[in-house]
Amino acid sequence: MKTKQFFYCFSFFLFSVSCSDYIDNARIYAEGKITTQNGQGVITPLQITNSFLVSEGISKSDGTFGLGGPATIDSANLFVGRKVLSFSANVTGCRINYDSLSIKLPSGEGYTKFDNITVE
Amino acid sequence: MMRKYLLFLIMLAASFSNAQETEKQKARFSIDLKGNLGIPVGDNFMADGLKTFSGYGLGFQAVFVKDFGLGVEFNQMFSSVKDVSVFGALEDPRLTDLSFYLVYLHSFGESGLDLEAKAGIGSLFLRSESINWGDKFRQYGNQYILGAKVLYTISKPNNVQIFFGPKLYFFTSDINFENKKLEKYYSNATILNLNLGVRFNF
Repeated sequence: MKTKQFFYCFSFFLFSVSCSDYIDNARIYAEGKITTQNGQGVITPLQITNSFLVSEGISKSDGTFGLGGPATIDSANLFVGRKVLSFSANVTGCRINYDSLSIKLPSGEGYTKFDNITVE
Repeated sequence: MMRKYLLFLIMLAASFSNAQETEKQKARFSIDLKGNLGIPVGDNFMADGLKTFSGYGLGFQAVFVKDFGLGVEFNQMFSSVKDVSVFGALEDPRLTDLSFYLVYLHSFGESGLDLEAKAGIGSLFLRSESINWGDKFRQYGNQYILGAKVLYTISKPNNVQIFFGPKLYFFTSDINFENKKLEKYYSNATILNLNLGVRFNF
């Protein structure tokens, strides 16, 4: 009986140690510019999310933004809050998610620069 | 990084070799208890993302050669997030540091006033918690410290002093980004520490 209890405790301990969602000593950062089709800057609340919130902020009146947060194991999403029509980025592997409101980033860490994100 | 450690070791070695040439000085040991304020300054993620830290510290030092000595100190300071877009969706950032330093202590004799200057190296550890669940995000690195203190004797028979002093932390860690300016922004930070405390000499 004691052995069994010990095993449960031990496995819980391993679980709690091993399942961190963050990567220590690493960060994620996304920056860029959000405009409408006629090139006007868009002020909008932005979020980097995983299954949880990583970072959030608001784009400036010219549409520029910069968001930083802790690096995560799973790939992150940039939630724009408006329907994304197109974008261009410095890294490959980004794509518009099915909901059209967010862009999937290639990973949960590193630097992504969007030359432009065009929203409706 | 290595070169700076080497320089520090050479400085230590030099102070020891000097020791043998001069007459023996009576060693002066002391223990410090202090309160800390840590103000992140400059253009970096801590200055933009975090509020002023506050916390406590413990120190031990021995002055034994021509007013020079060695010391070790431990500090822990707590803050909160000022700008989520810079620091990320985290809370309760906690800074822990352990430093070893070379110290010079000058005593103004009967006035009860002492002045102290120090330089050292150490490890610094920034830990923050996720919002709403128990996960922790850690960033650790090295630091160089430069500090000064004014001490005043409040109880001569018990050899107790109070002190106040500024100290600078130069924190360097290793956050990698393709954008080098951003890498520096998130890897390095400067913290101005103001400490007020009490020293027990023996």
